[in-house]
Amino acid sequence: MREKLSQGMLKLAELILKLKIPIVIFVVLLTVFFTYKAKDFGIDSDISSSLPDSDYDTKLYKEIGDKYEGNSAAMIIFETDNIFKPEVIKQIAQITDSASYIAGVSYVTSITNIIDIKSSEWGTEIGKLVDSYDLPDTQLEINSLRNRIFEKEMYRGVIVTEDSTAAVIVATLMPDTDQDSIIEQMKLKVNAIKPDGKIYYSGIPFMMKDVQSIILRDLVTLLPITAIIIILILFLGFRSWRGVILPVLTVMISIIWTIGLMTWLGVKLTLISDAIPIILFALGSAYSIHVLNRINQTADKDRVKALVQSIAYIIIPIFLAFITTAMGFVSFIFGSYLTMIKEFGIFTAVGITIAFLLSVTFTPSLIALVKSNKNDNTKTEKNQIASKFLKPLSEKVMLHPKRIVMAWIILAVVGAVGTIFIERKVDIVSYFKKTSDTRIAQNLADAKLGGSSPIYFLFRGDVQSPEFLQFMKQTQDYLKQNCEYVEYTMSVADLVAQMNEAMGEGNKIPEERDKIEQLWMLIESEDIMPQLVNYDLTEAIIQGRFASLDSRDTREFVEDIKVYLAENQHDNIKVEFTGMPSIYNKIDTSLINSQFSSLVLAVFFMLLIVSLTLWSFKDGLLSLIPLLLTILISFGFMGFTGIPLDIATVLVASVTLGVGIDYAIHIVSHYRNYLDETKDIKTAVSQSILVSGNAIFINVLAVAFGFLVFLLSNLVPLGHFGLLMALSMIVSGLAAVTLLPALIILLNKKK
Amino acid sequence: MKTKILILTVLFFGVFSMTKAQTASEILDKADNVITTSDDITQNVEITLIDKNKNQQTRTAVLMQKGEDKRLFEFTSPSSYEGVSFLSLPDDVMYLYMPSYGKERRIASSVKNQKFAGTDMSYDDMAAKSYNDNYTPTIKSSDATSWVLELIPKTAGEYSKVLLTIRKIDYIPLKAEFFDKANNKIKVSEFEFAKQGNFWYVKTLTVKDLKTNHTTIMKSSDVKFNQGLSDDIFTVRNLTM
Repeated sequence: MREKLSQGMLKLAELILKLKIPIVIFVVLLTVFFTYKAKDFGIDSDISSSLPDSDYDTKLYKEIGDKYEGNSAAMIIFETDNIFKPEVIKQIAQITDSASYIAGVSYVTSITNIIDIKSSEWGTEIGKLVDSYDLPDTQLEINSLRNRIFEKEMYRGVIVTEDSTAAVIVATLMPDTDQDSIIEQMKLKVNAIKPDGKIYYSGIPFMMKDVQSIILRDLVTLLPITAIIIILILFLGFRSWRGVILPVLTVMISIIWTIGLMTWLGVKLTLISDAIPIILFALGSAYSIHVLNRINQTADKDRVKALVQSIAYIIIPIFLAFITTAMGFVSFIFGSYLTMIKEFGIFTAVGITIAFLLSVTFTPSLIALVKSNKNDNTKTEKNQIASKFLKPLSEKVMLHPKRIVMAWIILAVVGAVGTIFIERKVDIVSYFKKTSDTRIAQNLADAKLGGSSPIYFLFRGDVQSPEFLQFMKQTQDYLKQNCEYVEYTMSVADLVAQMNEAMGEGNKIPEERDKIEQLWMLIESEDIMPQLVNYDLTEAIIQGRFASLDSRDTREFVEDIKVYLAENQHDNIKVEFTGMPSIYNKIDTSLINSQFSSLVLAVFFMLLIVSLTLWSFKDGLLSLIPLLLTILISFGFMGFTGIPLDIATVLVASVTLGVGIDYAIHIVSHYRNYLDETKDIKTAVSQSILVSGNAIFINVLAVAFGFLVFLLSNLVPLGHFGLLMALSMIVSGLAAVTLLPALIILLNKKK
Repeated sequence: MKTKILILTVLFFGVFSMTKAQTASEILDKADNVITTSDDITQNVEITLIDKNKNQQTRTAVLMQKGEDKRLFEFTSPSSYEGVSFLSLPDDVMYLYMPSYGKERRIASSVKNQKFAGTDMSYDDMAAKSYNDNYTPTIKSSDATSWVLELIPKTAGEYSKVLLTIRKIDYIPLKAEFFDKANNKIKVSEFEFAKQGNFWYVKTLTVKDLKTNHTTIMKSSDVKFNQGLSDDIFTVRNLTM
């Protein structure tokens, strides 16, 4: 069978070289086409789009955004020593005004324009907290404003901090508008006012914009750095330009095709698929390197014959390396609920496939076409470096296999313990570094301004009935009294109750419907009404903000609301709940499920492929052991260092499996070859360590350095991802050359 | 010969246009007088509200006005609004009466910028005050049939300026365009005047809020002038009766 297979491979290799000109032309044309497509690539930094569109919470969240004039709140925080100064109030009014004039802004709320219903002995006033045409400019007026703000729960700690050092201007953006340009205009206008204090921008629109520019910046800066590192490693390895140019060219073409294909299909780059080009660089260049390596090693004088032989020999090993890596990524497609992760899985797998196909077709075709006196002085010194380290290592393994296995078991147990401490972070804020303004603003908003994560309750029924409004008000009271992180809520029930108070009958919903209907007339043309009720008066919402991003707080809150709604049911009123906490909670749960199912799938794929390749289930299982320990150790590392499981680090385990399995395959297959030859286990083991160890060493180095580039990213999860990947590569490489041989020795001893 | 005719023509038109050269303030004054000439007026109004999705609602009310600054607005339909009344008195005093509560409440002056009862007019717009008292006009442009005056409010308010189109032959205001502080046009009112006896009145008023795309159409009918309305009508006591 082997005979047949290698005959087939020779034929395939001949065919590839026969078609060398069409192949090169085809690749060039397709590259031109995809370059043209790729230049329009888009970026999607919306965290909620990581859930599928059909997801209940996301769907409801978007629906509410569409119906009630936008769900995305841009927050401008004005921080100074004391807000209550005429000059500051004036500037807040200016910012409020200029923000509301921007097309696409549906509504702006700040101390200078918030609705205020006052009641007094002599009458009632439905108006604004501050008369924006006659701003308070005396200390007396300012003092009375401050008193008014601090006596009302609705304002205190929501639009102004309790210590009076910061105020917030919240602009709600219309759905389906160009949020980027709105955000830009807003910043320009704020700068033009030259505020006497520090301005922070918070809320989802600003954060999304920031993530977007970071993604772009990462692409522009990290990709060249990765390229330089890989080129350096390649040059050191090959000492020839051909050895550098061909792999780099192949990878660049794969990147262009992948991004071009994504753009063509309307798939945008996300926080994690942003990493695809760099991952392709780190992983995809290996295939061309193998091809070149083989060609260099084939001593045949006839160039064409040498090429055919090299390709025929190398195509299967490369295919194996490729298919395992690709399966690591494919495991995300079936193993994850999150769209963002699925897309990442699909397109990295596609990119890897392209890199593989190019390496075995385009690279040899180019070599065949470009005549060069190959003068690649294959290195001997590198072997020395590697053997200086590998030789003593293999001796240690021979001598103390038990100790080595024990050492790994201890590491794995420590890792398993660390796993308990793994935190999870799914919110967009944790993308940013702790020192970034975005993060500082978020902390300020959460600690002192009632938070920035929107929450919504959608009530359906007869809005103007006392029962309906009563239920809304009761829900708001519940939120304020029982939910630690809910400071701000707003609904039409609030307005009706306040109007009722203004009519002299207390801050409550009137019991008679005609009272409600008549009060309604006074508030129905308020700008805020379309954000609170629908036109037909069959639906109304409570909008609020949640002031924590901690996944435990979020989960407790979401669970608590579920219980509350289950316990408080009305026949004619249906209530639904959504918001960023629900979405974060959903992503959080999906993340764990994702981690679990993609890992199980990846293990299954690897076991299948390796068992088939080595034609032994036992050896397949054996090859997986070092990787499973590696994954445990990297989880433990996460637990002990506080690196959270997030949308990017969730990828580490399966990718490690897909990439690291190659090292194990190398060792096991070399061991079996040498065993066939020498019939001596010890010689076979030490030979496989020396020979495979060298290749593994170089590969680990190249891939680890490639991934370490992510540490330079300004997106925290990507930095963590890179660090963990580099660690996992080193650990799995080490495990392959120490643990695996030790296991082989121990297992065979028992026989 | 030809030059003579030319000179004569120039002279004629020169003299003619000099007689017509009124100041912006004079024009606005005349326009004000066209609107408020009767002692009192009673009318039925039908208010149609059209939102951006073309949903329509209709309300009716009786509107009585005496002099320039006494005004009573009482809803007659829909049934839930029946009897709800607004009373405006001199010096920005305004009362609201709600039959469901059986009592009146005074409304503060800062409410004037707020929209009135679901319409696109503010309480201020409803007050029908003289333009000349509240704005400083300049002539922005003029053509064969009308002037366009630029009105700058004397005291800061909702609008930064108003462009008012006035018909030349009879000083009837045709259109008012309102601008916000960023100089965006935010609201357009169009007037359709009718004459009954010696009195002009606004037969149809269409107000469109350009930001919300919401339109209010107010139509008057059964208009009666100089009925000798008693001052007692315009009292708080009358509201609660």
